[in-house]
Amino acid sequence: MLMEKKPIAEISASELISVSGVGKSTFYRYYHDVYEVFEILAKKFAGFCVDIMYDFVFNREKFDNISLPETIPVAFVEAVLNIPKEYSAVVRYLIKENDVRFFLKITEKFSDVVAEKADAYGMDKDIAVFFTKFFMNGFLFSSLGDYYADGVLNSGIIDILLSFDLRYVQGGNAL
Amino acid sequence: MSKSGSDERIKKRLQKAFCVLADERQLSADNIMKITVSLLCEGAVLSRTAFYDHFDSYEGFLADSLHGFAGLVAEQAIAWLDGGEENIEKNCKRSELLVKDYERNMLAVFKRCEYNFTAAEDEITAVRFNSFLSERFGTDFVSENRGKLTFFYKAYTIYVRETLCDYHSKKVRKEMSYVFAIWNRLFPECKF
Repeated sequence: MLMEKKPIAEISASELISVSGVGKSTFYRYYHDVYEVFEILAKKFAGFCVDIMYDFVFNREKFDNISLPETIPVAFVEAVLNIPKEYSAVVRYLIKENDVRFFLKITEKFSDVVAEKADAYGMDKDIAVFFTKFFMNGFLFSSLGDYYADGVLNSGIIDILLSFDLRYVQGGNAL
Repeated sequence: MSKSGSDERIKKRLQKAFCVLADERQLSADNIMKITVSLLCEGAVLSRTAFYDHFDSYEGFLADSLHGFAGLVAEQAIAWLDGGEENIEKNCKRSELLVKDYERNMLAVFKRCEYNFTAAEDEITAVRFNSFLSERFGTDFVSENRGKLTFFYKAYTIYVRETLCDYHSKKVRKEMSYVFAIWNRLFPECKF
């Protein structure tokens, strides 16, 4: 929660300790410093993102009955995807700091999942991984920054994501 | 001898020396900042004064290189698109690359060290793509499709940057056909 108010570099361990209500010795038993707390949150969030992407690609039905408003407020997405509140501060922070590494890692991780799944779905692995990386990078790098800056998501981006369908991946050139 | 010509040569020497050091010291995200100006100058057979004529620090040298690479990657990405789908074969030949071998090596080191483009480099890419696409398809097209175009060129330049680090022309030819397929699906009315 503190991260919503000030940059991480200005948050001290003692502040975090007093806000969270844990004892000083408990804090230091588990974490070195504030950055470590953040790293752990970010890692959890990365896992969470990969899960959402997984559903989006392999369990599409989950999203079939959601009707989208014309412009999509951040809160809407957070509610639909069940994004826990502490993550939204993490995302805002990552985007503000332009932490490219973080996004690239999410894409890498997810590509690995797709590579594993490709065989089972009778897809060409290279094509599936290429398309996945391309679409996920495009999405993460183009829309999220604007999204968290303006508070609304461009519906064109959703159209693109919705057109990212396994059938096209499968068809490759026939996209 | 023009001043800018000698600037380029000095930069090139430093970049080559950097790549050698990167291999020797197995540079990674943890130790990329531990190289010193003296080491770099020693490798490049250059005086520290000459270095400081061009850059204010080691970090300044890295940032300048990164900045240059953003432009190069964008040029390469645009050249492949502009060459058109039917010329992929010819345009993806190694000899046709706009990015030289030592530059590709340094890009690979940056990738390994997780030294990535920042907002400043993204801006370079955005400007180049916007002017290229405006010229090709008109300014109306660019302003009407801003969201979709940003999506495309961000994903595409990340692809080009990564692919240049470890270049296989045959693989790139195949993958560029996917890039054209994505483009054609996004903008069926504007073919390359």
